[in-house]
Amino acid sequence: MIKTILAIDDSETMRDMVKQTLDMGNYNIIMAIDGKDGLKKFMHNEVNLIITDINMPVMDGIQLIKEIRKVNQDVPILTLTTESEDDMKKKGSDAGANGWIVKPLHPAQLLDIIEQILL
Amino acid sequence: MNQNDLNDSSLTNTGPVLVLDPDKSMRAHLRKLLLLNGFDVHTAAAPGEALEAMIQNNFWVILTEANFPGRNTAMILQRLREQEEEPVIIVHSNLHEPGSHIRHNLGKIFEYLQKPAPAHEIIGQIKKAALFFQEKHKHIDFFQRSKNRARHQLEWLLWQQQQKHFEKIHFGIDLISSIKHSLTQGMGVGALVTMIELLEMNLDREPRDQNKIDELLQKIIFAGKQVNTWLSQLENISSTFTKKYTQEEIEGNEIKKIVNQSLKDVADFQEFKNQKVIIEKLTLNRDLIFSRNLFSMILRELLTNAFKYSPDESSINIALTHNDRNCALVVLNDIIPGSKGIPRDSENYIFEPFYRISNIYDERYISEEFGLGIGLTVIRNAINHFGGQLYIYEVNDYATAMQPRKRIAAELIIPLKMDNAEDDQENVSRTEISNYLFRNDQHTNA
Repeated sequence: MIKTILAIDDSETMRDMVKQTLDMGNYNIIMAIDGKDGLKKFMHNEVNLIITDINMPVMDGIQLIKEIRKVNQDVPILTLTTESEDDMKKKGSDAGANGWIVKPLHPAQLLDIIEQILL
Repeated sequence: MNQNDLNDSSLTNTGPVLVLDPDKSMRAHLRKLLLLNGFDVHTAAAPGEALEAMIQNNFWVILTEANFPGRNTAMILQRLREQEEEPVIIVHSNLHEPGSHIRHNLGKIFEYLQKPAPAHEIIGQIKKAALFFQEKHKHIDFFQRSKNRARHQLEWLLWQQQQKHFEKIHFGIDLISSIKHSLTQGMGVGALVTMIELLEMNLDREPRDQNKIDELLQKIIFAGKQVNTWLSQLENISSTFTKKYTQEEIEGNEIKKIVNQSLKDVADFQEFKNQKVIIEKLTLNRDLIFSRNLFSMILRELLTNAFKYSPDESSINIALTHNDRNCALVVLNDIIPGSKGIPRDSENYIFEPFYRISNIYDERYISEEFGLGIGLTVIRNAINHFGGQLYIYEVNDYATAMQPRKRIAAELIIPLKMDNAEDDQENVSRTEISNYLFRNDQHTNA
């Protein structure tokens, strides 16, 4: 069965890069433009994995993760962000993120990680 | 005073009034009375509730009971007065004491009304109090806030002194972090790296999808151009440090031309969010001592920031005012809902190199002149060099909307040409004038 990945980033360029990467892995992809949009799409779809940016307007990635964890403890959440500070990583981990990937996005590496998680 | 006085429609511009009274029926009565007379009225049953309401609203007048059993009334009134805007307090109570003693016991109150006061007396005193509030703020805002700023500046200098030995390390870390951020965010070097890797993966695939490969090549060319823009930014910043601006006399009537040209230069940024620029009459009958090129560069940076950090479809106001020694050009913009604005304790930090209040990055502005978190540092240094000053701070805008709202003011202060050279030495301080601007003679640059 094709797995569904929800990817959230406010940058149009990043959304395009993530989509092109995931296209190569044969996944069903849902894109969202900020945390609020992501949360809405998560609520209305069966999602197997979430990849989210952290710094976003309207609702940031940390808040999104917290909101998702209120209703779902199991779905794996990866962050894809420019933030590499330990403090921020801890915030993400405390909120319920399972992995922290620092930009720039390396497509092959991301596909490997996803494959391991969704095995 | 008759009924017509009570319904005076001029009150619609009066700021909010808070009624603090534990008696439910009295609260309802006062609320109805004030609403009927055009006031924006809020009510609270207890001092704690009142203080909570004061966090959300800048009340001009508080009409309060003074009898709170078991509580120290003087202390409560003191707490109410201590709020930033220092509302005017009218006590409406039944303390059975001569007025002068009450004033002495309760501290600084505007008026004491024996409860239950007649409606016309309540309305009349609140009107007077509101006028007093306005007048007081016109005259003391500047001094009070300047005093507060001076205290903040002093604290800041002390903090900087304490941090001195950490500065070099911090600067290095911030520099690396800022460059890394700029490199890896949305449309930049990071995207180029990703696209090249995607291209490699697509080239290795069998069968090849030529359309995909062509599409990626197009994107790589575009991203390459963006990186080139980014490198030009670096060059631009570098040249700003070494550029020598000429101090020159600028006629007051040239300001409008410089503002309009700067607006044209950043017109692309204005279009992204379909924002409107409202220009106050920009006339000045005095000459400035500044640099035309620097003036334009500063305006481009301030306008770019105003567009970038304000909501879609919002308005940006530009206005000019002056006193005997300086003129102040103010750019005022709204705050994006949910964003921090500029907290008072961040006012000094925003001019520090690489300091960012928010890490949210809008890639549409990649071609901005500075970026990299250094624009404000660069322009403020240049402004100071010419005896000017730049302040950026949050204001309560009372003039452009019915309800006061928080906005960001960027205030550029430029010295005027003085007949007596000795007069040039006076320090410049911010005017806080933006609270009172933008009333008349506006035209719109949509």
